[in-house]
Amino acid sequence: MSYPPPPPNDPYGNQVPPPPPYGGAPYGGAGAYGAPAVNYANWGQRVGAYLIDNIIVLPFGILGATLGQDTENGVVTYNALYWIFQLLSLAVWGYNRWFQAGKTGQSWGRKALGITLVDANVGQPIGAGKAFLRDLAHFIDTIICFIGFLFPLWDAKRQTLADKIVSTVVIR
Amino acid sequence: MREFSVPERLGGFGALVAVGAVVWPTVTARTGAGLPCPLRTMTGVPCPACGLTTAAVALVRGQVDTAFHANPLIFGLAAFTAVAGPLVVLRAAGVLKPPRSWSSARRRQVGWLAGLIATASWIFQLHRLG
Repeated sequence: MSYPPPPPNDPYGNQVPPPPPYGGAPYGGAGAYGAPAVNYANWGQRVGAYLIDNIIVLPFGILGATLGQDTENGVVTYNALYWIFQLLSLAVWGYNRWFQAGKTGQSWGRKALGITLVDANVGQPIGAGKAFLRDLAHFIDTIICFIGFLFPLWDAKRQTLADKIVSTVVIR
Repeated sequence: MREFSVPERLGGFGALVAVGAVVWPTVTARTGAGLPCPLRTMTGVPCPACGLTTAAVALVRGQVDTAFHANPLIFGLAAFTAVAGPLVVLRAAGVLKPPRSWSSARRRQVGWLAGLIATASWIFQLHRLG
């Protein structure tokens, strides 16, 4: 006895469904059946957010360099203002990138670009400690001629190496 | 707007690199800024991407030989850049089908290939600078 062939367009036939289009389901799969698709932030948005976060602390660096540096006999010296502005820069960076971004998922730059940093496994903000560790892990992205920062161009979850180390993703 | 495929994204990045390579010599001449390899600066060992800035600047000036000797990877990026524009246009016009996500097996294969290319580039840089 043989079974009749499946009718055309039979959803239970042996047809292999075509792979999903870009954007239809994210790279790396949509997870469990029926689970919501994750919309990862693109590389441009991530670079834009990072630039904004850097521009925010740039004035402190400029003020420190102009008001806090002197040159005596060809040797660069630093006065108290230099270190004050350096500390201010670190404090603003820490509040923005570690405390606020760890608590809400959004630094000022990410907020401006409408993207959020979350834990790759639970989808929640990662906390200040992990946000700090993630910035430390960017050392790995930097050391290989900054190639680690390009990984979101081709990675399935658009992660940098730092993201992979601390298990984070940036979503829209 | 649809999501861009990996080759299209790499092509877009290559276009940015080309623009950067045009203005970079002026920036370095006026400010003295440089873009040294952090790994080489810290350890003395070059990384697989060493020489890409030199190669990009040489290539946009048409100095193919100099570009090749600095880092041949730049020609891969140039190929993506050359292809990406027409690809996006043809797909937008409906001449070509929209891109499809790769299977995980295909991703693995391409990942291995990329790893091999990076290793070959590292050997090249170690020979060139080591």
